Amino acid sequence: MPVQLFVTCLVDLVYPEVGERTVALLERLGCEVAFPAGQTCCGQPAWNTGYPQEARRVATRFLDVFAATEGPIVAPFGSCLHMVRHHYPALFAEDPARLEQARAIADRAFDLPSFIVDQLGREQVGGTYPGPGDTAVAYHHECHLVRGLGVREQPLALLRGVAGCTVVEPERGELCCGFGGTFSLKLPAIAAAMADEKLDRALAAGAGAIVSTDVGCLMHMEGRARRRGLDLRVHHLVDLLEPDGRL
Amino acid sequence: MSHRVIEPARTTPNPAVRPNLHVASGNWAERRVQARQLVDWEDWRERARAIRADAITNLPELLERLEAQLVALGGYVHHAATAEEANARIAAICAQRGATLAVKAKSMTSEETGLNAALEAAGITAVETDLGEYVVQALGDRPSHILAPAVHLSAADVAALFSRLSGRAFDPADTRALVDYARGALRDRFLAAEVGITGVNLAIAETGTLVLVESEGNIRLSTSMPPVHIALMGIEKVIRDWAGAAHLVQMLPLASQGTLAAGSTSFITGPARDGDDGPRELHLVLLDDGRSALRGGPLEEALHCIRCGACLYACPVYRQIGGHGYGSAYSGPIGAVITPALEGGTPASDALPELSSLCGACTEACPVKIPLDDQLVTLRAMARERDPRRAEAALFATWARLWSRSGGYRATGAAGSGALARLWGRAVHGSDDGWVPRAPFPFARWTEDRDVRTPAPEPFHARWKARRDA
Amino acid sequence: MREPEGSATATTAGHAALRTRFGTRLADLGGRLHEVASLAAARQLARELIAGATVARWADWELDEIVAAETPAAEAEVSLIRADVAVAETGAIGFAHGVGRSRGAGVLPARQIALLHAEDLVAGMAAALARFHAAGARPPSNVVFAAGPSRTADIEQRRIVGVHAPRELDVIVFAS
Repeated sequence: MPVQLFVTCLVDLVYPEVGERTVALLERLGCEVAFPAGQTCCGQPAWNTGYPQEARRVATRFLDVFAATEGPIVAPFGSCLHMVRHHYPALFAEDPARLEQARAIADRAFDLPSFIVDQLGREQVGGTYPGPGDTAVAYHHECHLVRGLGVREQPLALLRGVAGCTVVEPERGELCCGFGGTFSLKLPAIAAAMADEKLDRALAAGAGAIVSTDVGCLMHMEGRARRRGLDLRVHHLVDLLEPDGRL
Repeated sequence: MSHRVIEPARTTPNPAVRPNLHVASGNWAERRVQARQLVDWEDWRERARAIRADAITNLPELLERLEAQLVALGGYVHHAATAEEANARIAAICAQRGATLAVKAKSMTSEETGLNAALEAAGITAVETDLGEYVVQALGDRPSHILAPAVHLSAADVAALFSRLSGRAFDPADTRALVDYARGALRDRFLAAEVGITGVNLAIAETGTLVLVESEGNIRLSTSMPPVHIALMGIEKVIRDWAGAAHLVQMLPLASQGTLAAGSTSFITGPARDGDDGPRELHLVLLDDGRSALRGGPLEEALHCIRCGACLYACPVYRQIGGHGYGSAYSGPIGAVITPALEGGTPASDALPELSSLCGACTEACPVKIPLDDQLVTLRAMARERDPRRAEAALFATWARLWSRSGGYRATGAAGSGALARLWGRAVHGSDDGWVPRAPFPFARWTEDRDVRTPAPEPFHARWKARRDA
Repeated sequence: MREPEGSATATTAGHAALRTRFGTRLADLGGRLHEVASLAAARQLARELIAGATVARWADWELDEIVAAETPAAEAEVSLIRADVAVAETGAIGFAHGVGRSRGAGVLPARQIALLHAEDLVAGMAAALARFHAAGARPPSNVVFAAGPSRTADIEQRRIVGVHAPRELDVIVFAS
C-alpha cells in the first residue's frame, strides 16, 4: 500500500522543497508515495484561535480527502498530526460518523521521524549536511511532537546518522520557540524574545545551525535570526536526510 | 477591573524580571528531573488527578461533611458567595474581637479577594509573614508567583528595603542577615497579633481537618500564637479523606520543588483542645465566587488545581513577562485559565488566554493533569462568542470557505505565491531569495521583529501535478 | 521506589535500612540524625548538644533528666521535644500538640532537638498519618510534620536554612 503524503499547508505553500525531500526520502527507503490531491489544511489555525466552526469546515475536507485513501499517512511534522489525533475528537464529538472517520485516520497517521524509525525500522538513513563540513547542529524539539505526541528520540537518532555535522543539545532544548501559530502574530514581541532564547542557547552550545521538524518553528526562528543578522542556519530535518531530494 | 484583574496584561517581554525567572525556572526544571527519579511520576499524577476529580464531582456532599465535622469540634464555618462577602466577614470577626493586628500567612485566595486592603479599610493591620510576601507588602508591591512572591525582586531590593526599615545598612550578598532581620521583625508580630489569618491547601472532609503546607514556619506561628485563627479557603480545596491527603501533601512539594516533603505540614482539626495551647477559636471562611459555576462545564478540571506553581515555572511566556505581566491575582497558565473562568469572561480577563503559544509545557508539568493548553483554547473560543472580533472572524470565515474546497485553497496558493509574492519581495527587499522584511495584512505584525519567507512561486501541489501526474 | 509499608519494623536489617534512608533525607534537608542504643544514651547526647544553652522542653517523660532548668519558649535557645513518628521516605518528624506539649516550645527557639523511639520510624507518609488518624477517632487538634529545619529561597532563589521555625534540627533515635 502506498504511503499517503499529508504535506501540510505550510509546507505546500511556503516550504515545498521540504515536501519534495520527504517524498524522495520515503522513496529511497522503499516506499511508494501517493499524494491525495485535494488536501488543504487540518484546520489548526482556526481551532487554536478560537474558531471551532471554521476549523470544522476545513477539517471535514481533510477527513473526506484522507478517508478515501488506504495505507499509512505521513506528515513532515507533528503539529498537524497532533491536531487530527488530539483535537478532531472534540471537533467531531457531535457527529459519530465523522468521529469514527477521524479515529480511523488518526490510527494510521504518523509524523515522518516516527514513521521512519518505528514503522520502517530504520534508525539511521544517512544524509549529508548541506553546508560547511563539521557544522554543529542544535536540535529544536517541536512542542507538538515532543509533548503532544511523545516523540523525542526518533528525530535525534535520524539526525545522528547524518554525515558532515555533529549534534549538540542546547540547554532546555524542549522550550517553545515562540511560534505558536497566531500567537506569534498577536504577541510578536514576546514571540521574538522566546525565539531569541532558542537562538542564543544554540549559539552558546556552539551550534552553526538549528534543525527541527515544524516549518512554523523554522520560519519563526530563521526570520528572527535573519533580522538579527545571526550566523545561524535553520533547516528542516529532511534537508539533512535527503538534501538533493526533488520530485 | 474586578478584584481579580488588576491591570491590563503585558504584550511585550519584561527584561527586568527575566534573569530571576530564568534562574527560578531552571532550578525548577532540574528539580523536576530529581522528582521523577523519586517516584513513578505518571502513576502519582493519575492518583492525584483521581483524588481531585472525586472531590469536585462530589463537592456539595464533601463540603457538607467538612462543615459538619468542623462545627461538631466547636469551629465556625462561614459561607461567602463573593469576595466582598469573604472580606467583610473576616473584617467583622476581627472587629468583634477588638483585633487591630493580624499576622497573615501567604494565601493566594486572599490576594484574589483583596483581603488586606479591606482589612486596612476596617482599621485592621494585616502583616504578611511569608518572607517574600513581607517584602512585597512592605514595598507596596504585588506578589508575582504562587509560591515565590518576590521572585521578580533582587537581593539589592530587599537589602535596600530592610536598610530603610531598620536604619541599619544591609549587604545584599549577606542573605543570612536579611533573613534574620525578617525573622526578628516578624517574631514580635506573631506574639502580639490577636488574629492569625491563613489560606488552606487542602481540607479533609472526613474529619474537618485543614492542611497547611509551608517552608518557613510562619504558618505554624500564625496558627499557634494568636488566640484566633481565621482560614480562608476556595471551596474547591476540599478532598475526601486522609488517604488522599497523604498523597497530595507529598505531591505538592514534589511538583513545585522536587522533594517529597515541605518544611512543615500542619494538620489542624478544629480549635485547640485536650491540652493543646493553640487558638481556642477557629473560623473557616468558604469562598465560592464563581467556583461552583464551573462544575459540570468544560472548565471544571481547572478546579482540580492544588496551587503548586509548577505551570508557572514551566511556561515560556511567564518567563518573558513575569507574574505581574498577567495583571491579575493568579498568573501563569493556571491564572490565564482560572481568571476568565471565574470572571465568567470579561474583556480584561479574556485577554489572558492569548498569553500562550500552546506549547503544552504547563499540561506536562501539572501534577493533577489539568489539560491547561486545551482549556486555553476553549476559553479563546468562548471569548470569541462573547465578544466577536469582526475582522478576525471575517478572515477565518473566508479562510474556511476557501480552504474547505481544493479549488479555493489552490486559488489562495496561486494568489499568495507567484507573481504577487515575487513582486512584493523585490519591491521590499530588493532581492528574491524568498525572505522579505515586511509582510502585508494580515501578516504585518510578523515582520515587526522578524523577516518572513514569502509563499513559494510553485507550491508543492503544483510541482506534484506538473511532474508526477501523468 | 517506595518500600512496602509492612517492612517498617519487620526485621532489624529492614529497620536499619529505614534509619539510613531517614538519615539521608534528613541530611539533604539540613538536619542531623543521631542513632544511639538507649534512652540513657539519648539523654546524654541531648545534654552534650545543648551544652549549657537555655531550653524550653515538653513534658514527655523521655525528656526528663536532660536539663535542670527550663526557660520560657519565647526566650529559649533550644526546643527539646519528643517526636511521635518519623517518616523515612521524606525525612520528616511528626508530632501532636497537647497536654505538656506547648506550641511555643515546639517552634519558637532557633534550635530543636527531637527524641524518637526507634520503633516510631516508619517508611511512608500514609503509615505515619495513620498514627494520628485512626478510623472513627478524632485526630488531635494540631499535628505537625516538620521535614528538616525551616527554610526559604525567596531572595533571588538563594537557599537559606532557618526562618521562623527552627534553624537547626537534631533528631536522636534511640532503641527502647
